Amino acid sequence: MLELELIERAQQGDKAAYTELIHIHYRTVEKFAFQCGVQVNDIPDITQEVFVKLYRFLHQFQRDRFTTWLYKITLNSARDYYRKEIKEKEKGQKLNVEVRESYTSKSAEDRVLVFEEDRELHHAIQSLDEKYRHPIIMFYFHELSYEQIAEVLNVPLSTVKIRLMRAKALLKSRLQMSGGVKHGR
Amino acid sequence: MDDKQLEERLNLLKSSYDRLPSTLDTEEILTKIENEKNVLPIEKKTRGSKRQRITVWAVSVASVFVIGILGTAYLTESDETTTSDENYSDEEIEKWRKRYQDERIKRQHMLQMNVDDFTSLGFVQYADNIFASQIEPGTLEGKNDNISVKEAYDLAIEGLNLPSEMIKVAKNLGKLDSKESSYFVDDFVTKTEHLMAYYEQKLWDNEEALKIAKHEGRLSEHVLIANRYNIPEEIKSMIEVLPKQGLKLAVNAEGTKFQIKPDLALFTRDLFSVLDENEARYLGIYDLIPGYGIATLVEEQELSQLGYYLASIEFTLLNTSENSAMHSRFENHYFELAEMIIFPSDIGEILNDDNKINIEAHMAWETLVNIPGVSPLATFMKPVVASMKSSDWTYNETYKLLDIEQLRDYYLLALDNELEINKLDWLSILPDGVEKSLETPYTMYGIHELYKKFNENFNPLMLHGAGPLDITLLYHYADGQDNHEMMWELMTSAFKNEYKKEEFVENPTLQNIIGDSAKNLYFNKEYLTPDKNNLKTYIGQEKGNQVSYDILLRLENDDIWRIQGEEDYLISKVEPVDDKLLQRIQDLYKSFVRTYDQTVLKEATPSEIVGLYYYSAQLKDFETQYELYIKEEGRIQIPKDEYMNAEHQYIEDIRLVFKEMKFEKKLNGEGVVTLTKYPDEQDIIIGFQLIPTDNGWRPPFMPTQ
Repeated sequence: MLELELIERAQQGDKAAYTELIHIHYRTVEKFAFQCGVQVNDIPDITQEVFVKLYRFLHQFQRDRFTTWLYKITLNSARDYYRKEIKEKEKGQKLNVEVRESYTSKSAEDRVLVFEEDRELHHAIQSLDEKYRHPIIMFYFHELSYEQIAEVLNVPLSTVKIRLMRAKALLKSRLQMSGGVKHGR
Repeated sequence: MDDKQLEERLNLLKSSYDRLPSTLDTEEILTKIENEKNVLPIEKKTRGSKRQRITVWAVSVASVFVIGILGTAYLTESDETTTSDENYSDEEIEKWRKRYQDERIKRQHMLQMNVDDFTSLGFVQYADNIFASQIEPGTLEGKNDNISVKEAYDLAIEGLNLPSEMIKVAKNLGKLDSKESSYFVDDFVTKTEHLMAYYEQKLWDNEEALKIAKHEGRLSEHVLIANRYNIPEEIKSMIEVLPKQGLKLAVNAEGTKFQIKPDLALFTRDLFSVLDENEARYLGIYDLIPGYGIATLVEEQELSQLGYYLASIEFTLLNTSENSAMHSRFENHYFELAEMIIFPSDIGEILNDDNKINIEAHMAWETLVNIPGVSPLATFMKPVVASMKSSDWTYNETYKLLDIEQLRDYYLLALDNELEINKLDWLSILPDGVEKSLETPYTMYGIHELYKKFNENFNPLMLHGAGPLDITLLYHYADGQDNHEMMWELMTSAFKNEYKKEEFVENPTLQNIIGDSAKNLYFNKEYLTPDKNNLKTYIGQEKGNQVSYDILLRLENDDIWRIQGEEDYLISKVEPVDDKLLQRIQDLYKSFVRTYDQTVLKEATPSEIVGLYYYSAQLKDFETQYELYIKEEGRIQIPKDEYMNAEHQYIEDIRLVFKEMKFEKKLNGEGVVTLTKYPDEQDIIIGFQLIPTDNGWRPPFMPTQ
């Protein structure tokens, strides 16, 4: 069955069609969430949240906008998560507690990013401000067009272009600053 | 590393992400959906691009709703203590339900909607949720026990209140503090957006039917309104309801689509006396940038105007609660708009053919640089604007190095009150000349506001950006109000060091700075002169037939103009020693030399007295020179014989010796005329002391020592 048909059926309340849609898209959501800074262990929660929210909004959007909405909602969930994480960290710092990523989440990340080079680039991307981080992720890892990114982020096309350009420049300079890892792959 | 290498690494990383483990549990998701009782509308509706916009709102609005119960509690007169719900029987709860239904129907009729449409409104659903979770029979076990049924009922009703009702309720409550105001604004905007979203949907549903409303090929809201009896009932109702809820019908720039826009200026006017002044600003800027984001604003407005809007957003952000939904929303708009104005995606948009920044852009940038008070934008843009101004706005390296992240840092510093005040470029801000009539009420128009604000706690920041004329008028107004404390606060620090506050407040030594005969006040840039590291200027007023620049103000280190405390005649303008001056001196000499009547010199200016002193020497008339010396008791007096027999300085022609003179009055009331000699003379600059007497200025003995 075509995806558009699935969406239409899901919009009419067909749970089986929606289940099918989840199966088509869940990897995108998981990866996107991780790339946006969600820790491996928290990805199931975020994924669940995204699909529940998506269902809530399902009847409100055009079928051909499904992907945009999927990214939009994932982005918002990841963003909330990210902010919560930062707040937790700040709270920890205020209390003079050294906050470290838990051993489990750290090692889970290591299992995904096996190579030092990847970890370095992943962290460089994480260190970017979200307005640079998100376009880079959508453009390079999800192959979204400028137009789609503009729609997801709700910003003009020109803004997307300039942010991508800046994001690349920032990434290059951050990688160069850290010396650029040559080994590992 | 070049772009290609970076892209290669990004590609490799992309494939590494495939290793991310998955733990998808579809069942759990479906169960959760089931639990939320998310019933989807079975009927499939036509959809289009508008929907997208609607859902953008829906998402942003969702964040606003987080305020929830606590957020709306500002309107609850909750004098009741928490009660146990066991006190309410099923019958009583049924009564609540009936009352709630009546209230619901009332609003539904106000909006002229059917029950399904009314139920679909976001804020109605929110109110229904409160009612259902807190009051409805059978759900009490799930309720929040910290809220009594009566309180929950009131909250649900507040949730139902339409924007127009919210204004009425707030008016009756009286002044809200800043926190309450920020909740109010968030709530108000949320409801406005729910209504906008609903009506946008109606426009979309009726798109075909509305195509009749065209004038010269473009859709026209006026044509539509005129034809409202021939269009679908729901659009007719919409047209009637929109203005009652602070909304209006508009047409997009291309003339192809109808839109719903907020129209809050008049609608919310009563709120400005109720809400915290700063929080209320969001309502004003919301009219400019409603739910769509800044894209429409950028399309519709000139760049130079955008600079002004950006400045308004910044001011609002820095003066309002950081925790409101409006704050975070406008924070995003702020950085996006800043980026648009400062770094357009195509640099060609702001460059002329000659590689110079075009006038639109540099007007916008200058607006940013001249934001008074603490301003991240001004701090950020100052170096660029200064460097570009010095090179006639040529695109330069300073601009290329500008990084928007720096603006973010300045902004965070400003939020923490750690950013220094932005010093204004007064030399460019102040006009060449201004004349302000004291006979029209307009002159005092902004001054009352300034007075009110500054009077709250004499916060100097309130005065920042006020020019010397404004400060003079403010001082004058404070004087009229017998607000001696404010008058003291408006004096320079040099004055404050010299005098005691208590004495001044008890009996201000500087009153009525603007004379009764003055019809206008004057500012003239010629009198704007450097003063140590800063500036000073004189404000003029009519005295007799002349304009006398006799009110001295100094720009102090905090970039605020203050009154120096000079009351008397005072000219600091450099005066050339030329034929004109000599003529006046000769006239004075003739009058004085006959009788040595001291009153003859009463009106003489300091330069004229000094000129007369040296002119006497030029004529070798040392007797006249002697008569010029101060005769007051307590001053050193030298016998005339002794003076006449002493050695004297001879001068050939004062016009050949002295180039110019400048007078300055010191805080102790005495004055100094600075004489500049021609370069071939020794001691190029000499100071000549003068003392004020009942008969005008006079030199003491040895005035140049």
